[in-house]
Amino acid sequence: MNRLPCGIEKGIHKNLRTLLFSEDNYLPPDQAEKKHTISGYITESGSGENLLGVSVYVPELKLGTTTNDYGFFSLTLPEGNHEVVISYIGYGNEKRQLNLLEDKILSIALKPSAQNLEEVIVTADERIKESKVTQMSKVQINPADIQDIPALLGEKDVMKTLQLMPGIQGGSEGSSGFFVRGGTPDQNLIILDDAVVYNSNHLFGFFSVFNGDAIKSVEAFKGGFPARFGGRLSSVIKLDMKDGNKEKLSGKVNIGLISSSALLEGPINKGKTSFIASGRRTYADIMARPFIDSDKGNKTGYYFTDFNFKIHHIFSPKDKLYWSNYFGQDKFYDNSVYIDGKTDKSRLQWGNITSTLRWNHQFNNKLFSNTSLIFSNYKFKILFEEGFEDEKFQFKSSSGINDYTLKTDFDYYPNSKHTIRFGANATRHNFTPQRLLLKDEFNPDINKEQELNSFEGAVYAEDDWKLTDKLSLSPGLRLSYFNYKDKHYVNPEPRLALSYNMKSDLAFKASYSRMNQYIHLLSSSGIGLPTDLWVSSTDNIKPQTSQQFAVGIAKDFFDKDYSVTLEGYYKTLDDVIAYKEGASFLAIDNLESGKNINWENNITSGQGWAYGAEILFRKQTGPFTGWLGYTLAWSERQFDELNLGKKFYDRYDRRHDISLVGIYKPNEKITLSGTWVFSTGNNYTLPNQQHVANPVDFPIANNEIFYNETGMENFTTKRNNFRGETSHRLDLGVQFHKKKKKDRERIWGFSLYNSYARKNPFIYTVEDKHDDLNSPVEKELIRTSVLMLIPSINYTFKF
Amino acid sequence: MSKYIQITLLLTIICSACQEPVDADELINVEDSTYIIGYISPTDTVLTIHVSTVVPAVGTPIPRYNYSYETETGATIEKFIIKDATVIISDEENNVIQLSYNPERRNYQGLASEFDIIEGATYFLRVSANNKEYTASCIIPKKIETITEKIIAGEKDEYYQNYNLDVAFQDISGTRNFYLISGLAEIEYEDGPYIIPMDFGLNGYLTDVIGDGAVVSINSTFSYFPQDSEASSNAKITLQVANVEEALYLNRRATYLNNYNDGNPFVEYSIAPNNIEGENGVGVFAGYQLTEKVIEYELK
Repeated sequence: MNRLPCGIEKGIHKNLRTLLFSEDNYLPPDQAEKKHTISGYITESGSGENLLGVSVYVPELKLGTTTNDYGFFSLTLPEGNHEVVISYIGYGNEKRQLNLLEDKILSIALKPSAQNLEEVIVTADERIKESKVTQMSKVQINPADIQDIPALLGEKDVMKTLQLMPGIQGGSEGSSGFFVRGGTPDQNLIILDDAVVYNSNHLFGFFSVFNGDAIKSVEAFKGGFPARFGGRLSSVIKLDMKDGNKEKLSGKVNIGLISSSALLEGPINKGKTSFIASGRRTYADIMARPFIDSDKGNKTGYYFTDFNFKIHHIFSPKDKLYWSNYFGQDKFYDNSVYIDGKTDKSRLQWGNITSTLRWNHQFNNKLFSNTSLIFSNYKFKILFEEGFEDEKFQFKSSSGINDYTLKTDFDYYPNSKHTIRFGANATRHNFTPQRLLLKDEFNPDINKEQELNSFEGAVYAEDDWKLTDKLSLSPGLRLSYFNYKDKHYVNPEPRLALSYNMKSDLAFKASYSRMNQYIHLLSSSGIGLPTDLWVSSTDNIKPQTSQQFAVGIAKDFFDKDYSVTLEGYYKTLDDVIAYKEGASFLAIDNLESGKNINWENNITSGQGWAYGAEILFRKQTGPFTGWLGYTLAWSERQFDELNLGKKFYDRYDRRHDISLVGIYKPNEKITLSGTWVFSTGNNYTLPNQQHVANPVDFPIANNEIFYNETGMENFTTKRNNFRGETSHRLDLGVQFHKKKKKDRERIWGFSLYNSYARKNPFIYTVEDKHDDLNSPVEKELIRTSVLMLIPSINYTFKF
Repeated sequence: MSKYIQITLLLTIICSACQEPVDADELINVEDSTYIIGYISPTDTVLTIHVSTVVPAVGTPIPRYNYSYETETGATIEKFIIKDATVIISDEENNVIQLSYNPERRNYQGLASEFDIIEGATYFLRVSANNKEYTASCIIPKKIETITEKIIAGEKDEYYQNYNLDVAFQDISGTRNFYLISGLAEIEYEDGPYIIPMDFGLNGYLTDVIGDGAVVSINSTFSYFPQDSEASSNAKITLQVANVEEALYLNRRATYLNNYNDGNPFVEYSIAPNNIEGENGVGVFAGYQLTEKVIEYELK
């Protein structure tokens, strides 16, 4: 009765067949003589928003698929009667009985379950869950969770929420640069609607640039990278913006302590064209204005703002167009007028702009394509002007990137066993590491510009191949290409993932991926200052490469809707870059003085190793949701020119990381939430020893002989020789919801960041213990802590 | 530059910054190390090696240098000096010189006339101190041939006249080279000579990374403050270029950078190099060659 399709049966040796296929469970769907395809789109009821990652599953056949990024699915099934279950976290289940006698189009609008309150009792295996997918090392965040989780100053933050997941670690307290499986922040590919976002920080990293209101989905890949992604070593963070409500005009206004935001979405042409616009701005500078003596022209302040805008147009069920845009900026400004008439003007400004035009085309019920035209820009500008009488000094500098990308991706669903994706992309990078204008009364003007142009391209193909109902394999290959001047790099990047279902709710998974990174961030601060500079691989700076092996177990508990994943990984990094000893902001100093510098001379390359284990226990439905994440990790580096060539633990090598997240909605009126995070301290390089200063004569009388009060000199012989104290904190939040007429709702939110005021380290410094000049010099270690017990309040009105 | 730091610190303070001392066992519990340092060159008249004990940077009180404390500072440092070590330098021909302790200089010294230091030769250092043996070796690098310079009068007002100084020399081909560059102007005033150091900053630490055998050049400025605006003075300008071994270069550079970046928490502390072999031995034994050029220049 368990007859294989004749072609396969002939080709597989009997013994091998026994090995590959479990006779008891395997019911090959292709045994039916006739097969038909159901395809269509899954949308959200009431808004028409396409839903991605929705499970479309036939329990009886143990066959299913998930919707792609545009809500499209295609599933080929044998002819006959089938029950199809459509389900999605936060939405009710939809069951359809289909008598499949021909190809069918199934377009379903899912209703959001009432505030996620109903415990969706899934008594049987009815959904594609963690144990059913080949992909591993991927976490998804429900945008609703981002709104519920308490955040610093009430600023709901996508990136901060992601950092609560195992394997994704934040930097020091307060910063939003993050480190995935021992990588660096520049090894994270952050894509918003297909566009690369180079700087994801506002306010030196305290907040991220993504306004949670406009985000539809957040997915993070930490390993087992599908071949469609490439260009960074350590992670892919994929954010998708909402398309806009196609049915009715709706919106949201949020007033917080440091910023306010607004969102408006609705149909332009009902059912055909929709838009969404959202914006946010901080207003500390506006509120401070009355306290600044502005009569004489004094003006100082800082703000950040971001703005998202998207239009979605449906030409026909098979052709759709999306145009999404993002603009974000941070600006510090200062104008000072002194009594003697001297004037000072400073500006510090950085930000991203992205614009993506996407065209979806459905060739037939098995082939879907998306073609994108993408522009991404990052710019950092600095301006100083000094004026006194007729004399004027002006210093203007900027650095940035412009990316122009053409990308096309195809999703092909030939049968129920294969989901094939293939595509290509081409990007022209235009880097301006330095554009400088220096005007001075006494010296000739300096006006120069460094520009690097490079080209990055890739072709890829991947298949999610269901060999049996227990074993699935996902092989992929990406061929990446990079060109800078006469230098051409071509690198194949094989990817492989497999999943074996030991039980219907328990899977063993393994993956391998090789990645290349052709553009790099020169960062000395490690805290995401905008002065960090993106540069291209050149003939001297080789691309960074990584290989990652991961194994894991995914277990779903159907009756309670819990899931557990346990993963171990080993990652090697080659040709990673770092500043040479002592090199860093000095480059900027040279830049200010207009001297010629070559950033490549400040760079050294080395290798890295990262390994560890992660566990995630998660509950995603019911009145109580949340997760517990634990990471055990090691991250090491070796550079010939750093730490005397010896291996050392990376700054963010943290042995233990725990995050506990809980969201409780006892009824429709209240949401209680709390997060507790714990992590081992970061590593710091601090002078731990001292020796007699300049004990031997040396003829070169250079200026390093600074005034020395003791005749002793501090030093260290080891990089990252001090491990900082453990960090932990508890954040609490409560929201009061009140439903009003016409589907309106107002929410009061209160939160307490670091509620027990733990003094978590931000930086450590070695300083003099005594100020008294008659006392001996005695050094002590000082910890600077930030962000203790920060309360916040915010008001939201939805309509 | 300081602007970035100011802004960052300001924001940090806004966000409820708090500073307090913490226990630093990892920093305080430092294993006893022996610090050994010596730079040798064919132009040396005296060969000098320093041997002392390393102490923890945190929690060790050291009196300040000032009028009332000078003796106390000296006495404290004196305690760190190891005075009963055996210090021997030898060469590949098994010539040996034992250096003896000089209490005035707090170093081990010997006359260079009794032991030849030759370009290209390898020298070995052996130090026995506190019942432990330390060894190191160095090679004397080549000497650069000539230094060229150009001085151009720059910015001027009623009080001062700036001069721009360009210094250039040819890199030694065939080897990786590390250069330390320095200079000073000695200006004759009525009340005696006045010495102005040239500030090359970090550019005073150069390598031949720009290309083997290429011309290496750097520039600096110095200011002249004439006592009488009509009068001119003669300046004796000394330019120095030392071709040094990498360990020496890195050691001097680490000191410079750590001083320069002192108080900037966003720059990684520079690691001091170490080519001393032996249990808990730290320091540098390295060779160098110095080239000097002295010129007379009329300041107006």
